[in-house]
Amino acid sequence: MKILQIVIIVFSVWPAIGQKVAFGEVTKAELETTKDVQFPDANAVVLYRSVDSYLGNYIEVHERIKILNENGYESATVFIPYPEIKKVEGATYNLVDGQIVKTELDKDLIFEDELIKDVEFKKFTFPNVSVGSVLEYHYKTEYNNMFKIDLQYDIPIKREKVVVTNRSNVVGVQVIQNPRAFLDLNRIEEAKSTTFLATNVPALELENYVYDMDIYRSFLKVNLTALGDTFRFGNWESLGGVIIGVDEFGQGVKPKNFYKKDVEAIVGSVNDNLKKAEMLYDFVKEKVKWDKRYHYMPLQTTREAYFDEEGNSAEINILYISMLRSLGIKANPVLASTQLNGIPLTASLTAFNCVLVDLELGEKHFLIDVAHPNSSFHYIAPQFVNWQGLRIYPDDSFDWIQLAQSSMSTKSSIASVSLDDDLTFVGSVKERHNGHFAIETNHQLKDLGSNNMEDLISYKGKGLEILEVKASSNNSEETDVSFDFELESGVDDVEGKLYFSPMLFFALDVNPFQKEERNYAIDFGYPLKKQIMLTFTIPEGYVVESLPESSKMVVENLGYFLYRASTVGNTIQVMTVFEVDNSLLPYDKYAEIKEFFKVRMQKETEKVVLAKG
Amino acid sequence: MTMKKLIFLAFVVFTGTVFSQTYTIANVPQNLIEDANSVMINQQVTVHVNDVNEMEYSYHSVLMVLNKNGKNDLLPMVYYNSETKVKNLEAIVYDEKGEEIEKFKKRDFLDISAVDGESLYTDDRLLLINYTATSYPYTLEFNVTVLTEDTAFLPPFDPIPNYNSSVLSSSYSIDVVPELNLKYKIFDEEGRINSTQNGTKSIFTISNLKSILDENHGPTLSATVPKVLFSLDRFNLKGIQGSTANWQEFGIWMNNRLLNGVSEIPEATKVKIRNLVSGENSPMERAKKVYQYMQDNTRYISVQVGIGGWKPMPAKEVDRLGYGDCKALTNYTKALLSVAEVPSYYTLVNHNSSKVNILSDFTSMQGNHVILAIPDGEDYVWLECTSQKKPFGFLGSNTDDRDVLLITPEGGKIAHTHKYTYDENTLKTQGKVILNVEGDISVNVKIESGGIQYNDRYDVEFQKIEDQEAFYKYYWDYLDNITITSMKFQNDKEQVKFMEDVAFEARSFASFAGDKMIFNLNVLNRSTFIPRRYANRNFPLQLSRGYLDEDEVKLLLPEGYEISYIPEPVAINSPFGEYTASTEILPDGNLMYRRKVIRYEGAFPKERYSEFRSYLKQIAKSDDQKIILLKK
Repeated sequence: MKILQIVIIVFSVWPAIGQKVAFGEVTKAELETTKDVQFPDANAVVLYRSVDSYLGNYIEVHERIKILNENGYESATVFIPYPEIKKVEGATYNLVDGQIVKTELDKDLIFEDELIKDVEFKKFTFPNVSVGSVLEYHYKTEYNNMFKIDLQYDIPIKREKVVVTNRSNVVGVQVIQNPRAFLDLNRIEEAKSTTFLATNVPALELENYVYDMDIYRSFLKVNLTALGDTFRFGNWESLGGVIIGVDEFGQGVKPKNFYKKDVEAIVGSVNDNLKKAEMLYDFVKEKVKWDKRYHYMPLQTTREAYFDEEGNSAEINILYISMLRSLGIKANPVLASTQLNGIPLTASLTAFNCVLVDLELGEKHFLIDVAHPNSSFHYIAPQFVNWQGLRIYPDDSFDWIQLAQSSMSTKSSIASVSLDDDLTFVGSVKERHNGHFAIETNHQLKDLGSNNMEDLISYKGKGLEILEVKASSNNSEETDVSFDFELESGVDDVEGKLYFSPMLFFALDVNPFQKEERNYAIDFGYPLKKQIMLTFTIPEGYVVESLPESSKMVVENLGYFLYRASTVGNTIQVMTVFEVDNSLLPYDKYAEIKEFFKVRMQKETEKVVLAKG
Repeated sequence: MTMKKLIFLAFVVFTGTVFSQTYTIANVPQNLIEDANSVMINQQVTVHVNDVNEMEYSYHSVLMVLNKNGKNDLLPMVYYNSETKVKNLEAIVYDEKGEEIEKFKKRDFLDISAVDGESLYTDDRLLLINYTATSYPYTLEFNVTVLTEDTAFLPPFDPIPNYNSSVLSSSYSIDVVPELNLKYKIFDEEGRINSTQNGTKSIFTISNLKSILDENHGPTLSATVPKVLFSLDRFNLKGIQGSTANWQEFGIWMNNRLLNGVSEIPEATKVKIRNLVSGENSPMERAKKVYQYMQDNTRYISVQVGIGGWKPMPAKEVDRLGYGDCKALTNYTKALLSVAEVPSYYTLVNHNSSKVNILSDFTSMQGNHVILAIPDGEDYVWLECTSQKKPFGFLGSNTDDRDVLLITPEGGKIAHTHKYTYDENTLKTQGKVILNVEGDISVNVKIESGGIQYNDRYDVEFQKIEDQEAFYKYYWDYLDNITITSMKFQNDKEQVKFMEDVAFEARSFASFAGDKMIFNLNVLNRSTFIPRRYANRNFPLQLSRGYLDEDEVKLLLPEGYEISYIPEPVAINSPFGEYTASTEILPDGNLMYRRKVIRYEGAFPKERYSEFRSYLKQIAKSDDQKIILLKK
């Protein structure tokens, strides 16, 4: 049994930033600043943020914000997620003719609002805000239910201090930092409280090829590790024990009678266990609808989910495990956490938020999710591919397994193209989509009426017209798509010679990696392979003068790009393969990936020259 | 405009039998399914105005949704507030066989704040359901009855909900007590609406309307669809009674009831303003200083509570808080101007990127935005008071060239905002491009913009460096691997000219074929957009704003290459604009590329669309012309 090594945070003390900033004591120096040295681009910065979280009792928040230019005015509107707070204090400070002028927050202009039913908050905007203003507010709640404390905003934070205090003898807590974020945090442990200090926290900026930016936000998670002496889940062993101990879970995975007849009717006389597992998968997916809730704990029995035909992710997957076990097929639950729930680094009640299925057939293991519409038998929805999961065996022992896609998703296109008299490309394309490509196409197919079939084709090109789109699903993981096209641009007719790039609209049109540097991992979603075979008929009276050279480029740990062009009879044949074996790459591969895409694009736009023969 | 009269009896029989069958696609005529994402099977709107402060209206709507794109063509939602109560509310979903699969009662509706992205707070609420279909087609029936004290806004007869949505049958009946004098205006060029009168009741019906398709450079949907607007001579709004008998009376009402008592400016600010403008004799120069003062001391924040949705927050409040919405900031500016002894008028306008007029011949509650007009001889100078950045007198593309309503002490007056002509909307590009043997380029470019093109660009100065870089990468998106090396900006608010000075490098600009280097002559301003081709164009061609682009770009060629081919000059004249492009070989062996594009504003019959399209294709082709260099 492998037990996770908890990352040790080095404690050190920076007394200089530990000092308390007194509410209301805005300085002239703060008002006179016109630019932040560390963040010269910032529209506004939080000069100081303090959160005092006394568990089970109150939360006290104090923030001081500096407006650096007009685009920073957005930061002058504040949301407070505690609608019942009675007292919010605050004021705007401006420098007028060298004097500090204070404008108090108007109590009548603090609104209570409800975004949707039961999601209420307080909201206000500071008065008299202009470039240079310093804004400050403070509030204290009468209870504490804050289990996640943000340390990073969409504007920089200059200094912040978070104190989490737990004076209870009953509740055990542990405070951890989002392991995906890379904020230098100074942690000071005292008897009943923990203090966190940070300076110059940069804004969280948007990047492409990221599952969701929020997975990289710096925050503190307050994890519940014990309730009294009986319930302790401070390590994986005891957490696993607590979860299995819950009847809906521990009993749920065992074979049941209520579905026996249905299951027998489905699998009939089939002998192959893999086949049986696939048939059951389709049956459960069709019958029990996912209620869009992620959970690692069933909130109702599998029986209730089965007959209500609706359940959360734990209920549906546990039901599937129970059915597999009833047929003598080995299957075990895997406690997992979606990308947005974060990496389960330490044991606590919020470490996991879903259950997956580990199906074991002889030597082979399949990682399966039945609940999510973006999952199918061989492919799980990308949000579940998140580090490791805790697999629980029938004897209540457990181990960690790597969460990964069982199969690669592929898309292969075969195109035949010719050039008509007015230099318009005409052609037809046949495609086969597998895995996640098929899942995405099938979702679209369901939503598009026969009038909108062109929308199924996402290729873009100047003067590209898509015609006669047809699509048919062979099964949930394989879909065939075909279409015809006309492309009105792309050929240069110069001095009797034709110049064009044979990849047409299949070529990538913009390099997605244009930024100079990158701080976050690059996420392609899932392992994938795109293959294009293009046959171009040479127009009568022309011969090939030059073809792009064939080449292959490999990036270690990522995949490869292959380009091959040749003349066969009166045709030019071009084949390209783009394969990503490893879909999540660390940020330090960025320069290599950027270059890889650049070369790929260059190759894809390289030209064929035809001369009159 | 024509109107078909039908006898009332025929109408009753007609609606009674229109869809007694079940809601299945087989029961919908094929021509209504073509190109449609949804079909309005039946809609019946009934409006009763019993008194100036009592209106009840109900909607019975049945929409068949054919695919996902049609699911928002009927939104099961309704607004309410302290004057407006929702009496009955239900929604029923039928599957493709026409069988009921889900029913939502009033308590099943979500009750949320109607606050939009713009507002800090509003007291309006929304009841809605968010139904996600599991398969298509399905049919949604939505029934709602609303009782309200507000009679300022009567529901319009607006049978076509969206593009790609057809109508099988739709009817509208309105009954108003005679003393309120119901008025209506019918928009129906093809004479599709039938109207009948039965005592105080007016009835409008329409049936079998094929779906309308959105077309490039066509009119907006609302300018195309048949519809009827309604208005009363008198109305009630949040407890205040008003008149929409004619624009003059409406203006007097607004001036006396909504704009009265909100213009007081605190003494300290008065002193500041007087000092600011002292010694300045020209009213426009005084106004400029006041506008700048307002921009420096306020920002846009919207709070809509009760009558505050229509009545400006008092000027002294704006003075104290330093923020307000369009009404508050316009009224505040007006009050400040009056301290500076410059007269101005609060002005209602339709804020929209397409030019929507306040209807001069139909008085009703119109407009969604407020600007300020300063009389300048026969004309006006227009101020947008919600911007901290706009130059004095500059409107931009959301309020230009349209009829607006000035609120003067003598009443409402229709006026027309500034129209930006093509020679005002300028873009001058002057560049130097150095090409090396690798096919990479390094570029220095100066761009000067004016008019609407100024409006499209000046904001880049205020963005973060990353966003500025993204702006240029998007502007030159046909160039790959761009690295911006420097950006400088200068905003001449006086002349309304914005100057950009940008340097960048782009790798792999030229492509190679054997010994040849091939590249595009037009590096910095390509027009590549070709609008869609239509087998049958339905709507006229509208070119809503003209412009003038002039480019002068010097291209420095790499050592070791000679020119093998250079394109001929291109000159195109058309009713839609003019285009010239030419390349001169300079004495030093380098090239000078010159290009000029004029786009005229105008409306053309639909038959000329293909001509316009081929004109753009010619331009795109010319902008895509390549030069070929040969290795020496």
